[in-house]
Parts: sequence; structure tokens; C-alpha cells
Amino acid sequence: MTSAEMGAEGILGLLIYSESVDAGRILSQEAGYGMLLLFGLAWIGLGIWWGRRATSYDGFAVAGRNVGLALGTATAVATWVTSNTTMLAPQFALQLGIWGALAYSTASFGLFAFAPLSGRIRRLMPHGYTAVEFVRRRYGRLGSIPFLIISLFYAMTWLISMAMAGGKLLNALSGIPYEVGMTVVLAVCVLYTLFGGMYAVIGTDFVQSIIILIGLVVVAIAVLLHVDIADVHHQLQDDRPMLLSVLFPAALMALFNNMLFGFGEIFHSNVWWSRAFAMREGVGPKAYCLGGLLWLPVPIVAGFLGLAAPALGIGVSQPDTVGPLVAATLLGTGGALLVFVVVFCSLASSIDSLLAATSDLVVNDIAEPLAKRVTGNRASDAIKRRWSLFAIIGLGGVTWCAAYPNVGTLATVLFFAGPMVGSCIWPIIGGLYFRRSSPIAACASMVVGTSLGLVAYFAIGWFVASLIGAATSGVVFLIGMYLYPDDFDFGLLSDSPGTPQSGGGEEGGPIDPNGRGVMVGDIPKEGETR
Amino acid sequence: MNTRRNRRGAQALGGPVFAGMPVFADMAGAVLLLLGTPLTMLGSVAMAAEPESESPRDLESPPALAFVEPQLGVSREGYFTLEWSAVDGAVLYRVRDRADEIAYQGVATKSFQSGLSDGVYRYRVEAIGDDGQVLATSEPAVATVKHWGLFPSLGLFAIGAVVVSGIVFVIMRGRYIEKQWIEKQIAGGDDHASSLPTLNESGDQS
Repeated sequence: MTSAEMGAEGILGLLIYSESVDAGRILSQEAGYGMLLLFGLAWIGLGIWWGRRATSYDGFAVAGRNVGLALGTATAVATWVTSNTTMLAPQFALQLGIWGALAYSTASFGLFAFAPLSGRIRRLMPHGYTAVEFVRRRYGRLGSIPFLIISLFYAMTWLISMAMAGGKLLNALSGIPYEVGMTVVLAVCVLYTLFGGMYAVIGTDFVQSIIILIGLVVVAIAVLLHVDIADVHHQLQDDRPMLLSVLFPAALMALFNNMLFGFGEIFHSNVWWSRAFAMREGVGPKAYCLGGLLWLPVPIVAGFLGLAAPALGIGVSQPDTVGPLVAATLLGTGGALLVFVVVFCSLASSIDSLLAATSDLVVNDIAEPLAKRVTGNRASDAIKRRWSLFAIIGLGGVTWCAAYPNVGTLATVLFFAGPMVGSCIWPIIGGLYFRRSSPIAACASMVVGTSLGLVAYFAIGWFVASLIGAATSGVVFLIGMYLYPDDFDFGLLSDSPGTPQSGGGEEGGPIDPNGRGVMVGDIPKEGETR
Repeated sequence: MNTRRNRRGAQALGGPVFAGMPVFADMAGAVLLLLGTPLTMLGSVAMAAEPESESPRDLESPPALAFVEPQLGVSREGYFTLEWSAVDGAVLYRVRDRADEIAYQGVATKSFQSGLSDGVYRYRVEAIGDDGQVLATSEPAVATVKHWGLFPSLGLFAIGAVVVSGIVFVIMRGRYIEKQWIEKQIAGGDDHASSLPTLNESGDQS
């Protein structure tokens, strides 16, 4: 239906139609609350049931390091299909056209690229817990401090944007007040992660990924049945020609920017590292590849919803809610219920993963080193398990406080982290594959890449920030490695955190083969190959 | 039917964004934006406050309807958000462009426009009552779209391609070397992570 045809339908029809689209009353509040209650209880129940196996800290944090291919693939897909996929992919398409939808789908390349890395991570650190732990042992404090700041900033940004998305989406679909929707979604995820840790997260991810994929296939089929693609094309060509332009400047810039953002998100984030540690040896590469393949079409389907909105005559007031509104409008009440469930699953699967992975960071990379410094003893499993509970509750509380005011658009909040994560790509892959990667190179590349990426963010736009961050950090990393080369022994990464390490170095810090107890690469020694 | 595409020929300030736009002008534009208007890059183009205007309609005391900011800045991405004041009794708002075509209909007091080519765009908004009567009409808001130049955009596209290629090369090369080494170790009955290979060991220089 075109805008002109809609105009001929009469004012009454328009009123009903527009109200349903804009005010989001397609699903009644009662139905919304009912679904929220039903799925909330289901996730909490399943989380507790799956989480009963989490008797040790290893079980709680990395699911006993024995996750198989099916669960591994499902958790990769479910975690990567976030509410941002269902909201931002249509927004990308509406803002940047065909290129925008393709740009968003390139985030799956991050999963493909991480597949071989996950295998190496698992082999190098069979007893590892977090990405920050790798960076700390690989680069020392010089590298781990900026990396920890970036990791925490990104994790909190993602968490907050998820919680905000939950509130906005439930409000758009059913009229549930933003504050209520956001609070319930967050509280449900905190509760079941609290009880079951990584077991609960991966178990619920499995169910959620199946629901998400089935829901998206149904939505895709239904939308194709309702929408004439030729009409969409014709309407866009007439009214929004740049959305179809191959040479759309901002979209061209956004393509690799989004791909690099995806690389940076996955390479640096403990959400993905903790899954690499949790999967059985040999499972990670296959699971991440399969996950990427399953995820690839999701933003293209979601993006098409954004492109279809103008042809359907749907007035868009906020671009980040166009996808769910188009789907729900086309498919009626049943469609609205389906969208509601898919959105709730995608929100929960990402929030739980973030809570679990970020609590690991807090326990292993902040609390434990601090406690070790104060008491001189390593924390026991029981204590770490207790700290994890406090960390999850604390993260939930901080997220709630930040999300409550509902400030900023989703894209703005999320993409602010783009240059930061983009600048972590080279320190991570360099640290995994190059002996010569040094703390100075890693630190300088993260600091310079983040700084220049943020300048680009404000000077040009979000669609170049990750690209500039990754490019400049790569150049700085190579120069740093050339000027301050290291000679790292990767065997040192395989030590268990509980195993006394040679050299008398600081606990958990990087130890070089010659027993230097300080950061590798810091002290120049004549004649020594670094 | 008078489509927007036809109108755009008259509205556009210039041709396609990539035709005849010097690189230096784009660079200068970027510098100016860096120094002067960073907030315009965040997505939506803000509009300035509109003064009250006298018109014959004022005599009948119609409800006030005005764009929050009627003068838009320059959008370099071809999208912007129009926002207007709410009117008591209005159940629908309708945004019309210069050719009087409907660009938005809905109950919200803002409208997102995107995918626009270079040009100047004018919009008016009408508040509609429950009987279909037009309660109020605003003064126009003017938006300008001037896309980023093609050459700088393609330059950043190329840089992105180089960076991604480098990342993929390092990972694939590292994976290949590691795989070869693991197969050798398995054949020799030894498998210990402490001697896992790196790109340096196989002769590749970092």
C-alpha cells in the first residue's frame, strides 16, 4: 500500500491505522503483562533447573568447560541476536539503505573470524576465565588497564542499551510503561543468572535461539506474503532514492566500519571469551562458524522491514522501533505476540550473557587481584562464587540506574563504544599470534586508536568511528612492535591461575621465560631478543 | 501522479552527490563540521526555535502548531527528524512536503525522513481533529541535504578493506601454521601448549 493509496482510504481508517502503528497499541497491555509474566517465570525456572549443576566456581563461570557443539552454536547465535539486531538493523536500512542492511549483516564476519581464535584461546589458556586475564598475562598492567576500562565500558554500554531496548520495545509493542518493562526484563535476567551462572545462560540461550530463529523465519515468510518487493523498490526509488544507491557516501563508509565494530566487539568481549573457555576443546571453531552462518540472514530480514516501512505508508517517528512495528502491524495480533516473544528472547539471551561474563571480569580481574594484594591469599572457589552473586546484583543495579532516565538513542549509546573496541582488535590478534607483540605496542594502540576514533565519531559520524579506531590502532601497534619488540613464551599462558609461577613475578602478571617479574618488554636488556 | 522524484529535480541544489564535488571542499567541510557543529553528526538534524508569526488565521485563534526548530542544519547522511509541538484535540498529524504530498501521518509529534538526495526540502505539518478537520497548520520547516563527497567516502571504504584484509590474513596465516604444527605434534605423539607456534617461528615477521 502506497502513501497515496493510504490517503484515499479516509480519515477514519487512517486514524485507526496510525494509532496502531505509532502509539503501539497493537498488543494490549494485559497481553503484554501476561507474556512478560509467562516468559519471565519460564526463564527463571529453566535457569534454576539448569543451574543446579553449577556446584563449583568453574561450573558457575565456564559451565565446567564441557559445552558441546549444539549448545555452543545456540549460545553464539542467541547472544549475537540482540535486541539491537531487531531494532538497529531496520534502523540501518532505513537510514543507509541496502548498504545499511548489508553492513549490519557483516557483524557475522566477527563470529567467523573469532572461530579460529577461539580454538587457539582454548589451547593457550585451558584454565582461563576472562579476556582481561589473557591481556594481563600477555601484556601486564600496561596493557590490561586500558583493556579493562574498555571492556567494562563496552559491557556496561551494551547492558544499558539492552535494558533500554527492552523498555522501549515492550512499550512500543504493548504500551507497558518503559520503566516497568525495562525493570522486569532486567530483573528476570539477573535472577536466573544469579541462580545458574553460565549453565543457566547457555541452557536458556539454547531455547531462546530456537524461538528466535523460528520467529524470524515466520516473520520473514509472512512479510514476503504481505509485501510486494517490486512495490517497495518502486516506492523507495521515487521517495527515498539514496536508500537504493550503490554510491551512498555515508553507507559506503559504514560498511567496513560496522564489520570492524563487530570484530572488535567479539575479539575483545569476555562474553565471547568465556564461551571459548566453556566449550570443549575443538568445539569452539565449529560452533562460532555455524553460529555466524545462522546469524548472517537475521539482519537482512530485519533490515528489509525497515526498507518496507515507506512502501507500506507506515509513518516512522523513531527509526529504532521501525522493525518491530512493521512486523507487528503486518501480522496483526498473532504477529505482535510473535515479535514480543522474539524480542524478549533476544533481550534475555544478551543480558544474561553480559551479566555472567562481566561478573567474571569483576571477580577475576578486579576483586581477586585486590584481595590477593590485601590478604596475600588466593580466594577460594566458594568465595569467588559468592563474589559472583554480589557482582551480578551490582551490575543489575548499576544498569537499572543508568537505563531508568531513558537518555539517548540506542545507536548513539552503542556506537560510542565502537572506536574503543575497534582499537582492541590488533592487540588481541597480535597477542595471540605474535611473540613480538609488546605491552607498549598494545597500550599505545588502544589509547591512540580509541582517541582518534572518538575524534572521528564527533567530527564525521558514528559510521566511521570504529574504522578510524581500528586503522590507527593497527598502525600504532605495528610501529610499537617494531620499536619495542617482545619475545613472549606462549607456554606461560597455559599455567593454571592456582599454579605458582616462575620468576617471582606479581601474581597473575606476565612472566617472561628468563624470570623477569615485571612486564615483558618494559626493561631493555642489551643482547636479549625480545 | 506527481512524485517526489520529479519534484527533486527542481529542488536539488546540485546534481548527484559525487558529481563535481571537489575532494578539498569535502575535506574543508569535514574540518568545519569538526570545529563548528559536531552535534549535527549524531544522527538527527536539530532545528532552531521558530518565532510566533502573525497571520489572518490568528484572528480565529487556532491552536498553535509549530516546528520545534524550523531551520534545519545540513544533513550529510540524507536523514533527519522533524519535530513539532502538540496541539490539544489533535488525533493525527500529517506532514506534507513542498509538493503537498504526505510525508508522514501518525499520532507522534515527530517524523523521521531518510534516503533523500542532495537538495532543499520544505515541510508543513497539519494537526487533524477527530472529525477529520484540519485544526492547525504550521509554518514550513526547511531541511538541506548535502551528502559527503564520494572520494573521501571511497577512501575510507578502501582503508576499511585494507584493515579487514590484514586482520583476516593474520588469522588465517596463524591458523594455518598452528594447524600444521599440531598435526606434526600429533604425529610425533607430543602435544603441549607451551611450545605452540607463532607466526615468528615459521619465519613470518611480525
